[in-house]
Amino acid sequence: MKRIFFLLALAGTLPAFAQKTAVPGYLGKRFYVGINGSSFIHFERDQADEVQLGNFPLNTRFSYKTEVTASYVLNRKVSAGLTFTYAQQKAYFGILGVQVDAPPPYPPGPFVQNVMPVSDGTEFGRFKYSFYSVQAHLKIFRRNFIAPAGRYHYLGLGYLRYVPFMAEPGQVLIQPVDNSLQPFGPSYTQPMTKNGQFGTYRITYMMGRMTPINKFFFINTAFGINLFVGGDHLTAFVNSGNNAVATIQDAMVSVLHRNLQRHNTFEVKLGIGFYAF
Amino acid sequence: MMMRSIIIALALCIVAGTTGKAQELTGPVNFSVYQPLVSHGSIPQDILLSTREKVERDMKRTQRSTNATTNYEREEFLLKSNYLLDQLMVSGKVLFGDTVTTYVNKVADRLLFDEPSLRQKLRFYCLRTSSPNSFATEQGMIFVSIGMIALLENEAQLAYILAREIAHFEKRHTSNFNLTYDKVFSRNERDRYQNVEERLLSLGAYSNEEQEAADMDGLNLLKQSGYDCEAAPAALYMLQFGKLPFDEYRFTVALLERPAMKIPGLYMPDSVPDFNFTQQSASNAYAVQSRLAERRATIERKVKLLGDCGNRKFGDDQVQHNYMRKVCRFETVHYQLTVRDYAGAYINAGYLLLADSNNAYLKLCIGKALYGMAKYKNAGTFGSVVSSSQKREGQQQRAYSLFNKLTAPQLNMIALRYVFDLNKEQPSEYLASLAGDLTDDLLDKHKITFAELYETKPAVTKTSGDTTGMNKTQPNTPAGDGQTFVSKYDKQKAQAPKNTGNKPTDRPETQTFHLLAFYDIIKEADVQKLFDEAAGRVTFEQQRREKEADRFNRMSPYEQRRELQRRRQAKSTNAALGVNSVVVVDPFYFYADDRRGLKLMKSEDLRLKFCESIEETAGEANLKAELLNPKSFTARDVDKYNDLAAINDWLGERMSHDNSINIIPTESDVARAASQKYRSEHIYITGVLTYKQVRENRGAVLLYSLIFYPMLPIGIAYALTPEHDTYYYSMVYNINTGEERMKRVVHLHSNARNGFIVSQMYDTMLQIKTKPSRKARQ
Repeated sequence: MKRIFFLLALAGTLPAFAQKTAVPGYLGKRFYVGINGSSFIHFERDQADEVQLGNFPLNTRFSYKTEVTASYVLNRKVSAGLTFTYAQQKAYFGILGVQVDAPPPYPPGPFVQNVMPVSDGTEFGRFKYSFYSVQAHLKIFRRNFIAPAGRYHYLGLGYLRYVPFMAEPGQVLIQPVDNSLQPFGPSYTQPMTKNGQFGTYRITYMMGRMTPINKFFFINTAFGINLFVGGDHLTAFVNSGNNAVATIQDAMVSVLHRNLQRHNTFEVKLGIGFYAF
Repeated sequence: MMMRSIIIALALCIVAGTTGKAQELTGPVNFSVYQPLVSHGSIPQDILLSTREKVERDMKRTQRSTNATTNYEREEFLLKSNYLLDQLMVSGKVLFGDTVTTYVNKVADRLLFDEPSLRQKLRFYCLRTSSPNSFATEQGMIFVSIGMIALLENEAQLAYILAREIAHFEKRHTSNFNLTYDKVFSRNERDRYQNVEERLLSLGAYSNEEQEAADMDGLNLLKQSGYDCEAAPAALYMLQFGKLPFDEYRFTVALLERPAMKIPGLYMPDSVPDFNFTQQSASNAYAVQSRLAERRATIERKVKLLGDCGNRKFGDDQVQHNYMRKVCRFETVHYQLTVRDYAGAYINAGYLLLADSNNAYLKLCIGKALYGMAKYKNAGTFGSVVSSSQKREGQQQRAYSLFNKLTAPQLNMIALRYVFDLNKEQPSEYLASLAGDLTDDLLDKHKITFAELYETKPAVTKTSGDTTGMNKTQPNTPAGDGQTFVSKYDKQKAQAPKNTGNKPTDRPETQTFHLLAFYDIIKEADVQKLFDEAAGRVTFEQQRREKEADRFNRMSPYEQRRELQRRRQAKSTNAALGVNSVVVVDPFYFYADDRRGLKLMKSEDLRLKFCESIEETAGEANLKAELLNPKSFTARDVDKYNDLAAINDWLGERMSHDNSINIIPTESDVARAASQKYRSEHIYITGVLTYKQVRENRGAVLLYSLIFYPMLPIGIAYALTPEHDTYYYSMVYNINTGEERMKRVVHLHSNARNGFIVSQMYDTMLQIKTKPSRKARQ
């Protein structure tokens, strides 16, 4: 809340920098805010036969995000601002199975060896995660359009934090394969997180259009691509001889990240905005 | 009691006002202080109603057919005809309530005295154009151009012209308007017409059969109304030679010469054969309609067969017609100037001056014509406004020869002296600005200084000047020798002028007579002041240019590219005009698609919204914008209509000039008075053109999106939605100087959403309003 007040206070000082003569804005207004919803279609191909969670044809899924954005027009062609995004999305563990065969004492943190598919996929994998993203953006208005109205290119760079949690209380996310050598294998009922949440960097490019409805409001439409780079995930498991060696935590984060990409790489956006001052 | 007094006083005021107006309408015009015609009274509904309202009105009048195709075609026809007529009606080219239109209506009353029902269906208007033509429309409007009335000898001829158009209306020849419209506005015919006005007039081009039928029916109507039938072939005769000047007369240079400046005879042929009307009568070279020679011959035979016919040539009296014709001739000269027919205007004004030798208006027209020609000569594009003398016949050939042979400095000097003298006779800011502009050109382009003029003395020998242009003979002595002795060699040279045509002294460019233009008044303070002021301006401008060039040369290649870009944008995105008020003239909005072409109704609806946006956005930008939109006028706004007409004339002329010529439009004095009412000297023209078409590469995009299936929704949306191109135009002109202060043509690859247009409009208005920076002012 303090941050919001701080940002609002900061925004309040912006009109002082307005120079109508050089920067026309929209009817003289250079600061605008908006709320957008974005979505895109994706297909759960990996679990098409095993996980039936809906009746959509081709096992299609839709992801949703909500964002609030505030921008300030810097010159005739460019506006800059911040975008806050929130989403809660479903995720699935695809083919991850766990076999723990190392003798005690276990090394710090659970290890996964010989990653292999589990026999019954329905026992695994259904959970949710929510994420928060803060992104600084530039909107570069396309040829002959004057900011902030018309077609634009959107370039964004920000940080995203996501928190996995179970879709249903008491659900077992991961349980070890029954192994006579290791009857004490761990059973996980919560996704493991590092300090409760993970993070990654989000790079966005979009093409969009801001269409003024009247003197005060505009409609925003856009489509584009998100790239999630860096942060808490492994791009590949470490290969140690015949066995892949990774912690369960690493494996989970990778799965989470893959879900994040699947849901959010592409997006179509629709929203409404307000030309403030 | 008090209230009653006020009412009586008000009534008296109204009566006095009405009486005054009536006198203005019908009373004689003082030609020495002639003012161009303007409309009077209430603006007719033909101008005020929108196209949509007119179409609805016309559809109600016509019976609907059971055939849907017929109804559709009918509606299309009414839509196109009404839309196009609307463009004409709101252009300011139409006159109503003025002296001449009142006269034309009176003639129509006489013509249709026995057919009151038909008379009620018809409305007669005059068109402010020098091109002699007339046409009727499906809606019952009949237009006669002022240029047409200027040609006619008597009222009976005018009656015949009207009778022909009435026949076209009655025979429903105007129903072919749809075909004519498509033809005239087709892409193939684009180069045939110079402007919209020409296209509109060409809509009166009926087929040969229709023309002949109208000729005959018009003749019958003429006979029925008691007018002289001989007027019919005579009127066609006038149309056949409609492109010639008012009359054949001996063109002289007396108006241009001054005591010390005599124009040598080599600029004009000594004598030219008069135009042979008999030989040319079989030709249609000067005709304004098709097959006029043949049609005239047919009508002549018909008149002979008709036998007894009325003998009325004039309605009330001959004086009235002659008076109207004179008004129309004065107007025609004015209109010729607006379409840059400078030589034609000069010849016609010179002819009218024979009867009114001191007429200030005609002298002003001649001054404007000379100024226009001099500016085009200076710019090296004289051929675009004055044709070669070889293309001319009759006495006008001498005038064309003179203007073509005069070199740029000579014509500049002649024009300057004429305008200078005229400004002394009838001082005005406009004439002073013309004189100043010509002097600037003289100093800057021709490098002729005041000192050079001061030092130039006339030669002692006889000059070969020709004040009359008649009886010119070759000199017996070589020019400039100053001796009385004439050798055999000199005599031989004088006798064989054709063989010495290439001698330097005989070439126009070697002549220096123009340096004596101011010889007789060179010591007058006004002359010195004129040149001193011009020298100051020219020196300042030269220094500025040199400074600019020097600064540019010192820049790095990158900076030079930036500078060139800045200069390109100086009139578009970086303009800062510092103008607080503008007159927005008749904004336009055209919406077209690749299947149905111009969507007329939609264009009109969008135009209305566009006009509203202009007013709202000007308020946001704090710019005082007076919108002259005929569709928002009330019937009482006739003054605004006249202002619109004057400004539109100015704009039409200004836009026909190339920017490189830097000319002050000849209409500036009239338009300036109109714009001053709105306390602005800047005209703002704005409009939108948007075009919708099917995307060419939609198939490929759809295919790619199928292959890369996550993009399928976008691919489908792309393939199904059309492509739009929108152009937003903004131009700002200074009405006093003719300078183009701003020119923005913004191409948006998008549909014309009102928000986008408003965004561009606000930016434009802000630039108009913003004061230039100190650096830019320097």
